[in-house]
Parts: sequence; C-alpha cells; structure tokens
Amino acid sequence: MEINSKGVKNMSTSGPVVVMQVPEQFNAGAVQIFMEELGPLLDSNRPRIVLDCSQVRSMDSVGVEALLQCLEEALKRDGDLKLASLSPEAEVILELMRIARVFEAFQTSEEAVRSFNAIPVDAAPQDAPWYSAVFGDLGALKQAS
Amino acid sequence: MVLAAVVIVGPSEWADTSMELSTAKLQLKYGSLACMEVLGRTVLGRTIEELMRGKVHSISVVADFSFSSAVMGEDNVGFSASKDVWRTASEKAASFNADAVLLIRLGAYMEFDAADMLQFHAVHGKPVTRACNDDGWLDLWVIDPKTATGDDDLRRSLQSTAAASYVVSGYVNRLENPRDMRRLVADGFAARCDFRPQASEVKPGIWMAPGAQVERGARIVAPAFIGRNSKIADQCLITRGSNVESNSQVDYGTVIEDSTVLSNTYVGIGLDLSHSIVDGDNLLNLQHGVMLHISDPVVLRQMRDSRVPSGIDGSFLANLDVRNMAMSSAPEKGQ
Repeated sequence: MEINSKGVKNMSTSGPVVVMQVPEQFNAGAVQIFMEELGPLLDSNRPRIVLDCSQVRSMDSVGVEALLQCLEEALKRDGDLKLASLSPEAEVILELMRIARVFEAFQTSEEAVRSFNAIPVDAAPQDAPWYSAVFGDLGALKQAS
Repeated sequence: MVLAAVVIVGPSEWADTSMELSTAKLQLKYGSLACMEVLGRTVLGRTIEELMRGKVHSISVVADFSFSSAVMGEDNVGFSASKDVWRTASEKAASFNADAVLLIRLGAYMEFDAADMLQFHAVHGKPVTRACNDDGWLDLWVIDPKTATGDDDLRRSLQSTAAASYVVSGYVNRLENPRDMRRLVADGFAARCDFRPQASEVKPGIWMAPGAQVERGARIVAPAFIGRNSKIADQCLITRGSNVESNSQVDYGTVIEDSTVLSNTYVGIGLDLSHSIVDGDNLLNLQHGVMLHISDPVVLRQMRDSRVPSGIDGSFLANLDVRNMAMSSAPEKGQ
C-alpha cells in the first residue's frame, strides 16, 4: 500500500492495474478528494482500475455519478474500471440505482486484478478498431463489394 | 360478564432482565411495528377493532411514546402515554369495573377468540390465564382485576407458572423483526389470515385505497396494494407482493418488487427497489440484511402530509410520530 502526497492510504498498484479504495462515506465531500486522486490515472492510456468497495457504508447520487463518470473515462481511453469486494451497503445502493450491472464486480481485488491480466493488453493493435481482428479491414470489404 | 382490555405498546415485561441483548435491540428498534400502517391499517388499529367486535366493553391503550395527535373518536377507547407502560397498565386494569381484563402487549399480531379465552379463564378459575401457541408464550393474558392492584403484583402474576395456559389456534405473527412484517403482508395478500388489505380490490389481487392514483403507463402486478392518496408515476412497476402505504409517492420508472413502502415516503425516479422496507429516508434491505440511511432527497425522503385522516376506521396512528423509532440509527447492519 502506498501513501500518496496527500496522505491518503488508499491506493496500490499491481503491474499496470491500479487498485483504489473507495471511502466509507462516498458522498459529495469525499467524491471531490477521490476524483483528485483518480483523475490523473484516468488520463493515462488504457487505464485499468479496480475500486475496492469493501469500506463503503453509504453513497449518495454524487458518488454514484462519480463511479459512472470514472467508468466512462476509462472506457473512452480503451481501459476499464472494475469493482471489487462490494460491501452489502454498496451492493444495495448500486442495485437501487440500477447500475449494479453496468460494472464488472468481483469478490476480491485480487480477482479483479487477475481478470485484467487474463486479457493481454497488446493482443490487438492499439490504433486498429476492435472489429478489425474479427472482420478485417472495412476498406478491403468495401473494395471487394 | 363485563370484559375490558388494556393494550400495551411497549417493551415486554421481562425486557430488562432475561431478554438477549440482540433481541432487546431488535425490540427497541422495531417495537413500533405494530403502529405502522400495513395494508392500510396498523396492527394496533386492527386489534382494537377486533376487541370491539368481540364485545369488549372498555379498551385502554397504553404506549411508551406520546400520542402527538390524539385520535380517536371512540368513547370507549382511551389512550395514554407513559414511560412505565406496565405500571400504567396495572392502574388501568385495576380501574376497570370489569369481571375480567384482557391484557395484550403488541407486539404480535394475533387472531384469537376473546370470548372463548374468557370462558376458558372462567372455567379454570386461576387469577391469570396466559395464551400460547406452538412457538411458545404470547403476550396475551386474561387477568382478574384484583390481580392488578400494583405494578409489581401484576408483573409477578403475569410471569407466574401457576397461570392457566390457553392455546391460540388462530393465525399469529410475532412481528419480532421487519421480515415478519413482510411475511404478514404476504399472508394478508394470500388470505392466510384476516389481515386483509383495507381497500377495494380493483382487479384480482390488486387493492387500491381511496385517493390512490396510478398513472396510465404504470403497471401493477398482483398481488399488490396501493394505499390512500398514494401516487404511482408513469412507467413504474409495482410487483411481487409489494405494498405502497398511504400518502407515498413512487416516481417515474421505478420498480418496486417484493417490498414495502411505508406511509409518507417518496421513492425517487428510476430506482430498483427489491426485497426491502422503506420508511422515509431509511431503507432496510432484507436480502442483504442491511439498513441504510439515504441522505439524498432525490432518492428517498420522508413526505409530510396533513391530509392523513385520523380515526379508528383508518390508520389511526398514521399521524403519530412514532414510525421513525423503528429505523433511526442508520447506517447499521441488521440481523
């Protein structure tokens, strides 16, 4: 576990995957600090983030929105954001807000990290679209037709 | 034969001695389940109604909280608040000019024949008769008024092993925790007891109380109950034995499944509420055993509505400020 410049003991790395602890009270006040921590990671290329939700006891709509925003940012940069060790409270809130199924969730952070490692990062060329591995080059298809 | 009744809403008479801490805590938190409107009427209201139907001449209700808006429109029903409910109950019982006094602590929802129990008491000739069922003793007694000469005497008499035991064969739900409340709702829907929805059955298995509004695009799947002056917005789904009690609002697109929305509660837009009991901004999820306080008023909040009518015909405790007693110390893991 690392202690960052702001004294927050909530982040660790496992290879290219970052595991971060979501605060106990994930509300408007805590979200701001949390986003300041997570923001630089989301700006990186292919961010792979695991949010450990084991400490979460309450979360308001700002917290939920922040999670969605982080996921969106990660996906935008070809990365992903996964949840791990969901506390019952976090689970209830995510189900209530209908976003439980939006996230991939794992029993433990280790499992979540492993799930990233199961897919080789460099399996596909980074600048090629995702469908090129399956359908080939669309340009070639167009020419053929 | 003149029969009177004292209904106690408060802790059991041995709560401070033999009750396990966890149970006591539950009782403390959920002791007022009997005062919450369920399927259109509180257990207390239904019990009083049943006693009146059973020719009980005088009824006194003693509770350990203040009646903030005294009800109640029935001359032969008296209400009093007291910190020491057992002492007050003893005084009330002694003051009745009756041949026998029924003493009930809520608690449990019990369906019993008062006349039959009274006859049993008379035949056995003991000063106290206590009811029980297959699961053990119930907080229901018949006592001779002279037994209730003092608080200590009453307590001692009620716990006496010499009491005659009367077996209640009717439906009993001990309402010891919120799960029991959901079971009571399910049993009421399924007509397994007389705890029936207090509303019109507009379609098979769908009950709607006066003033309930359901938008055209909302869907109600039986069995379900929509209470007085409640509003169900467009695109909502109320299903799998859910009940939305009086003056509540379920906003656009929300799904309520296998859940209870207690009176005066707002449930926000686009939510998925399942296996839960919601009371204002408190949510108890029975599946995960978790109680949450939702501080976000766009998600859940308490609604205040002065339109709730008082009277013994409705949820006559709906106006009483007791509902939050049950779920106030959130967030906390339950069960």
